[in-house]
Amino acid sequence: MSNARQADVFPVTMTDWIHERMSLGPEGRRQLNQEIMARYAWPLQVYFMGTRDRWLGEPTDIVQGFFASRLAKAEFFANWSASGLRLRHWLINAFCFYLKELHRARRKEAREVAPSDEPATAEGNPSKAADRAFAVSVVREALRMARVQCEKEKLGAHWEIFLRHFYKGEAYADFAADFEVDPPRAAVMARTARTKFNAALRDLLSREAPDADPDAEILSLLEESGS
Amino acid sequence: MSQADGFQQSFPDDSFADLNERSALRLLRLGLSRPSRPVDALIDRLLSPGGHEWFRKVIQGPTFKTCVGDAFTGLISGRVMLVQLTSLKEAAKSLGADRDRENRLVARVAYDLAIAAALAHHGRIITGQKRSELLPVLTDLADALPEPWADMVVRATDALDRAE
Repeated sequence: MSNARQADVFPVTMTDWIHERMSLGPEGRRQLNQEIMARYAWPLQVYFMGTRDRWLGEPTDIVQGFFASRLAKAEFFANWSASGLRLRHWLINAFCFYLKELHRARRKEAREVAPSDEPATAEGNPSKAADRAFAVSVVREALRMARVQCEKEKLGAHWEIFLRHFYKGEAYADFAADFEVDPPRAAVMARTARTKFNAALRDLLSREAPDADPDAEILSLLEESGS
Repeated sequence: MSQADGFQQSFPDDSFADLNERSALRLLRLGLSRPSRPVDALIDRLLSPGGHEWFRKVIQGPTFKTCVGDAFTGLISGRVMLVQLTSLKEAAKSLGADRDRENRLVARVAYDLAIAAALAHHGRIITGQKRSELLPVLTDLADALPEPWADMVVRATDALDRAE
């Protein structure tokens, strides 16, 4: 798919994406925050579970508290953009600071009750686990976006065939008859839906950093996942 | 109601909550853009109308007969020696230099199937291509081939991790 065609379907860059949402005022900011939370909540929970800070609370509560604390700040996205970091790495950095804040608060509470040693902030390399979780999270979102696109374009059968083959791992020959097509035709239909999925995936990954190259992002995630 | 409308009723859970890490990484790999590879011309031919009939004729042709005898018996059932597969691959390389496009496509069939069969039946890599390049080539080719050839190529991709 050419960039021009892709641009018709999904926004192309991270900057477009943020500016588009920010230009909508408080409602746009709310949408932006929701998108961030939908994509990054799980990777951050996985990161949290890989640290020694698990005692601080339930992963979902901790991550929700983090988002509530940080996404409300007006300068959050500007600071990220200036950092040059991938968004997930920026969020993990910010999350580490948030955990330290929680530490201090809990330590203060504990001093009022009984003395306690301060646990270390992190152990091992939870960032890798978070990267793997991010890969799953971003693929899920790309699937959702591609499904919506296929629905809009009346490509329901194409999408279903794509899922049967690429998601469920079924051979075309095993199910093509369900769609009243032969296996080669099924493969062609799957390719159409695959194009939508690819465009969605690359769009999401292009939002990971100001100058993100989707190919480099994919290769980085595959490498970090040991694939 | 059209067929497409009907299938829209059968979309799975839109959260894709059952997506595991391995499947996600496989899907992630689909997003890589890439320049047109030599194998893409073959994939396009296989996916065009009559592509599978064309393929079945190709594997009964002289390139296969000379090197491995009956292609089905040799490449699918695995009753073939590694040296035969290497000779099939070398014959394909010679034919691949032909000026005729059809012959180059036939050569590509022989080349990729020889490599896949060596992996699937002998667990050996008989090409200098990097594993990271070979995997997407074989995966995409498997998607375009008819059964049981697709299955053989899928088994080759499974064998790639532990192949010598």
